Amino acid sequence: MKKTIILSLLLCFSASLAFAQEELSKAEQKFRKKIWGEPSAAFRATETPEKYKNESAVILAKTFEYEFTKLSMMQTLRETMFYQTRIKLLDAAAVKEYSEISFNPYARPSDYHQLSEYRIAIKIVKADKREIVIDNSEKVAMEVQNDYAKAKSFKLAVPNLEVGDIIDYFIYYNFTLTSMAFIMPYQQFIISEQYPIAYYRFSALLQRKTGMNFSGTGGVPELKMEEDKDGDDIRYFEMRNIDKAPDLKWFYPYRVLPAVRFQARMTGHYYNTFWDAKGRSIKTKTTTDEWIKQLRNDKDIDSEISLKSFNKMKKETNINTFLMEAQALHFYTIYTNALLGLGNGSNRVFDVAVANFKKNKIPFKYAYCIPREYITLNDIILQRDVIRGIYIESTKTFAFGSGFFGKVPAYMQGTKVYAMSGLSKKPTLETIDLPAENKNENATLTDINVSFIPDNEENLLIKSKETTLGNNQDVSGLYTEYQFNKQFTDEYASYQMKTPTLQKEFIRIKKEVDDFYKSKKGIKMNEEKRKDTVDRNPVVTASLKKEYETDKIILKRFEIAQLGALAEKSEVIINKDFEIGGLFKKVGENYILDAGKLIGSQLALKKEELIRTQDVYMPYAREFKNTVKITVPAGYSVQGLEKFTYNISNETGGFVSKAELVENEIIITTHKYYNHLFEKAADWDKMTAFLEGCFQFTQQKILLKKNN
Amino acid sequence: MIKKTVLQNLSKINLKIAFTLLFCTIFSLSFAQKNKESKEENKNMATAFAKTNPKELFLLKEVTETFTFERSSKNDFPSVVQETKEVILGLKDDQTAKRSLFYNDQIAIVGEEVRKDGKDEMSLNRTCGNYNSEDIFYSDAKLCIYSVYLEKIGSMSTFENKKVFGDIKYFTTEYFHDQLSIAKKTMIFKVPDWLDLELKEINFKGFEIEKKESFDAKKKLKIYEFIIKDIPAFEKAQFSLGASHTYPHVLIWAKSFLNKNNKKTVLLETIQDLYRWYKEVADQMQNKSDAFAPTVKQLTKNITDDKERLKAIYYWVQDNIRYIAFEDGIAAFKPANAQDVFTKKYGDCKGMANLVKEMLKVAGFDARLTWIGTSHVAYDFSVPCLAVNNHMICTVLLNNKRYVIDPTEKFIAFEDYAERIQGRQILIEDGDKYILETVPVFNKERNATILEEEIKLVGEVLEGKGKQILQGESKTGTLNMVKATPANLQQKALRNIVDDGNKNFDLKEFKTTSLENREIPLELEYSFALANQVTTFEGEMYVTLDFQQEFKNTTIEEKRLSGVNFNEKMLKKAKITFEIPAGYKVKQMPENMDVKTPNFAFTLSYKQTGNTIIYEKEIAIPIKVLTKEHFVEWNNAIKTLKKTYQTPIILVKN
Repeated sequence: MKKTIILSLLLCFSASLAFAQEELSKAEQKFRKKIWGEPSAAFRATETPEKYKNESAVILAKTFEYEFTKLSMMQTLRETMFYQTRIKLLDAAAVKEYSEISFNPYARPSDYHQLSEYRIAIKIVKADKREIVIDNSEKVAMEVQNDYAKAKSFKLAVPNLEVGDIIDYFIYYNFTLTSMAFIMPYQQFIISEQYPIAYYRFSALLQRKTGMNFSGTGGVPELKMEEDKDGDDIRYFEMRNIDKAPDLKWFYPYRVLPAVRFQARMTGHYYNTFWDAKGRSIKTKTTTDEWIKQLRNDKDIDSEISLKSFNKMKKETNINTFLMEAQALHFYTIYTNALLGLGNGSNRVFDVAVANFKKNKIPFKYAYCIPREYITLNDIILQRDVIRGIYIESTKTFAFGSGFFGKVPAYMQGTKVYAMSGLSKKPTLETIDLPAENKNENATLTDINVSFIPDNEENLLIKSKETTLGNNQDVSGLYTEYQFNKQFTDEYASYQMKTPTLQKEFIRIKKEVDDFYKSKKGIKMNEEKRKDTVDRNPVVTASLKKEYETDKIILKRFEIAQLGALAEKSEVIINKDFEIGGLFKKVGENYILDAGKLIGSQLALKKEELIRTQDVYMPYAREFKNTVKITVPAGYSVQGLEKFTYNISNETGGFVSKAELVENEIIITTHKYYNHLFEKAADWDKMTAFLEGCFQFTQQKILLKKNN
Repeated sequence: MIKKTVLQNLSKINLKIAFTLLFCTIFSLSFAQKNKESKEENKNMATAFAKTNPKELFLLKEVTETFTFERSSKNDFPSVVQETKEVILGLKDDQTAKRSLFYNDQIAIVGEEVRKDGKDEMSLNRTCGNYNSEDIFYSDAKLCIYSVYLEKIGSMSTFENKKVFGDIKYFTTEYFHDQLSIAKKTMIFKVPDWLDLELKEINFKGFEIEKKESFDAKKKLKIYEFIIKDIPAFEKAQFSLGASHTYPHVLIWAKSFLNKNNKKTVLLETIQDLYRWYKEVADQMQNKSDAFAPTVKQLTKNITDDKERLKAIYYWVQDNIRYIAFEDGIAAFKPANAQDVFTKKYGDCKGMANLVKEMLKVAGFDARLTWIGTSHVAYDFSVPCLAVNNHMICTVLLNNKRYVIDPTEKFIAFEDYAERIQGRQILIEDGDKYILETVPVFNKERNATILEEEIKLVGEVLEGKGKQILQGESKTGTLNMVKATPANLQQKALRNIVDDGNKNFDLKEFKTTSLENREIPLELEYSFALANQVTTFEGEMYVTLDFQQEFKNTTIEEKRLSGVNFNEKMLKKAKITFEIPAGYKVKQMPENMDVKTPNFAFTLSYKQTGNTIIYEKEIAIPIKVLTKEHFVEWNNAIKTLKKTYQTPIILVKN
């Protein structure tokens, strides 16, 4: 119903900003004439491609023009962005969407940008080719202000809009950079939209002392070059018939759909391995030599820090113990920092580790890694594309200085990365694979004990114990800060590290924590936190309602028995007792029990989801095991257990289950697992085989029959 | 009391400084003691309240609203000054209460002050701006939000503010309830003898509201004081009615006033006065028919029947003019010119009513603007104030009959009326006079939905064919939903009405009647296979025929204040014929259900005829709103309904 034209720029407050008014100044008229007066063939199109004729709307043409120039003779930089879209509305829903347009001229990408010119213009092309320019003066302003700032946006009801109309609009931003800011903000966007695009063009104009690093992925073609009438080089690419972006489960749009990333900068002023020194350049690839240079440079910085800090380090214990303890110490450091506001840099653990590896010649690698959601190794063009860290192959441990020590994070698993030995004096660049975890490293094991409640014909009582490992763990939002704090402190209270350096660090930080709690501020904070009576039960109740797809949940008890902070006790253990309604019905004297639903709701794929052409990107390999125990009421016998036997297993994963009666207890066990974090689209039917089996399991029922 | 007043009086205060200093020394000793006691009292009060209301963060300990009336020195016209003082208690540590004040071109905020613990003035933390509502494209309503910090449980702050209603006509209602719970609220109206103003007490029944009346002979003021204690915050219940139906409030009816020369000026004394004002505003329009006359001609070309000509225009406006709501100053009452709405292809209710009226006039019809308050508003024209109306439609006088048309409704047929306007009083323009009438009321049959299915068992899957007929609100609602869906997803949206997104329901063949003809019911015909509705245990088959099970989960929270607004009267009928599979016989059928009350009826029956079981269901709700006194009987009926739905048919092998 409402189309917002704000683009991907940051919305922020601005006290007073003059922008071009709509009173059609000469400049405005000239600008419009330039854009609409001599349109390219694509922006004259009125017909949609045949293959898109059943869509709600089709973008006939869309362009993004970027310019970064230094004004001659002046110490001023100019960055302009021009967006133009021509969209044909093919049904009432699309008309409704474009009938109200919101825009915000106060968007600006960074503090040092001054928006010196802003233009927006909209015209409608009717079916009979008549063109109607929308009068911007009919816009209404929406304001918000407080004593410090004021923000304003506008809304425009687009008049005379009908099915079959074309909306052709452009937005122009001209930023002046008053200080000599050498690097422009990084930009990244997906080209595909909710409607198909018949023609798309990206162009960049760079003059004299400016350059750009650019990468196009997901089918974006190589940049071409042309000269404009002023003799400036324009790099551009064109694409045709870009299908609309699909709405899929387990899908990484940045990996699959056409997308661009770029960053412009001044040349000659700023040293960076990956910047091209000469002006008017666009760099689309990085070289191995550049990465070697960068890695060596970064390595030297690390060495300096770590060896300076720990030059008296002794031979430590074995590597496995060391890494486990380093992880525990890291966890302790970051949480005590977060909870108590202590200032222990979390990179100290990283420094200790690097010093230890170097001192004791423990093999490790420096590595440049990429979150797999976005790009692959081939697509990196900037240092900001990568996360730099160290990697120990033998234990699959990964760490980066500023905030992580542990197993390779899920979002990097299964990727190819650049690496280099941390010990070698003349290291070479290698490409290695960061391993993906096995399913049993990310597991949820749940014991579910079910019983009937005397004289209650609505609810069952469930007592569950859920043990989670690895990435399946999530206690966020379930704890009050005080509860978390206490649990955390308790788990670490008697913890001893075998590695002397780490133990020394641990004792030092622990003492700081103890001192803090003894201080006036600490006592006060602890008291205040203790008073944090905010009831977390609604959060837990809401998650149970979602899990079981019912509103009928009465939470009786919730307890996090183990926080999983220490490597030796790395499982999170959560106990929940709750009543749940709607899972059985009484038929005469008998009960029909929806036993399949006791494992919680499972993915129910719609008919159209069973066919898939895109690859499947999942967060990590994982498994879920349930043991459901149902106490059979005295005087009842059980029928229907055979329906709970499923055994679907293939290379993508599986669902295996069975049910049996042991004395007066029904025991149902299930095992659902995903073997990998990625599957090819061609293997989707293998996944749906076990996913469908699991759904069917949830539909099965048990009869509890009153004995005669 | 208010910041501005304090500043104005500063000079007077200076003169008294010497005396004050002396007084303060003596006073401060007793004040300290009193302050301590008051702090203790606040803490006890907050603790006790928090104990019984654990989810609440604040309590308004005391709220006093005082309304005084002044004649403007400029034009002698009455304005209203509202002064509010509220004492806020924190119920938990470290909380910030957000208090808000509405204002617009007619209502100004002229003073505001926040004090901590009743003494230290706090700097105002205020954010103001346009009030954004999802349903309204643009409104001149603005909002200031004030942050009031409360450090501990029992901490107290006061928030004082002053608002001026420049024109007394816009001062229409005052509610007792708030977004926060209130321990005590006093509303004082100081009505001068030159003002004829009536305070209508709405929804007072069921609430203990103390009312005092007195006369200040010196100032010639009649003073009305209303006191209410211990009221909870406005509830956030689903399917609630408009606040004017539920909450106690004062409806202000300013009839007339005497100016300083004792000359009477009528404000809104009678319906005629209200009509005159509406008409004056509407007459500011400058309609010109040139733009749309050709369209009218084209639409009515070759149509001779008057009703058909009328329909052609009415339906064209429904289909071609988008509803976009504007509430902007006088424009909230003045319709946009017909030619502007026609050209822009959008308008609010007034603009659309005016366009349809003018188009009908061009076609030779006697069409009139018509003012109406929809069912959202609790009042009728017996109190002719601006709170009565919130909508505009059009009435056509044809062959001695009056036809009401509402062009903001989409896909509604001529002579059909949406539930929201049925039974509502309408004020029809008639030159200098007006016509007061009522929109016809339809019974539940208008909204009947009928489902018929024939089902047999294939393996453990129910297979069959079915038909659903949608009429009235369910038809217009469905067409609205479908037409707002992209064309390539419309079939999916329609199919979803039948399969309800249930993965077990495999909808096969599917067709509908025309989505373009608003004058016939919408029919959906289909065939399907429904899995997991049948379970077999050792030769016994348990079959559930009704998969929709409407109203199963509609138990009402009996404590809720608001009646349950179904939004429409309802009649839902279903007939499912099930073929008993060969080799099986019926062992048990669910008990029939027959619960009938004047407000609702649930009738479910199972009957075996030969090798078929016929399941029939009729849910009849002849009312739009279920009031609080019927919640218990409703819940009892739902309990029985649930049990009936839950019980399967049991078949056994012969």
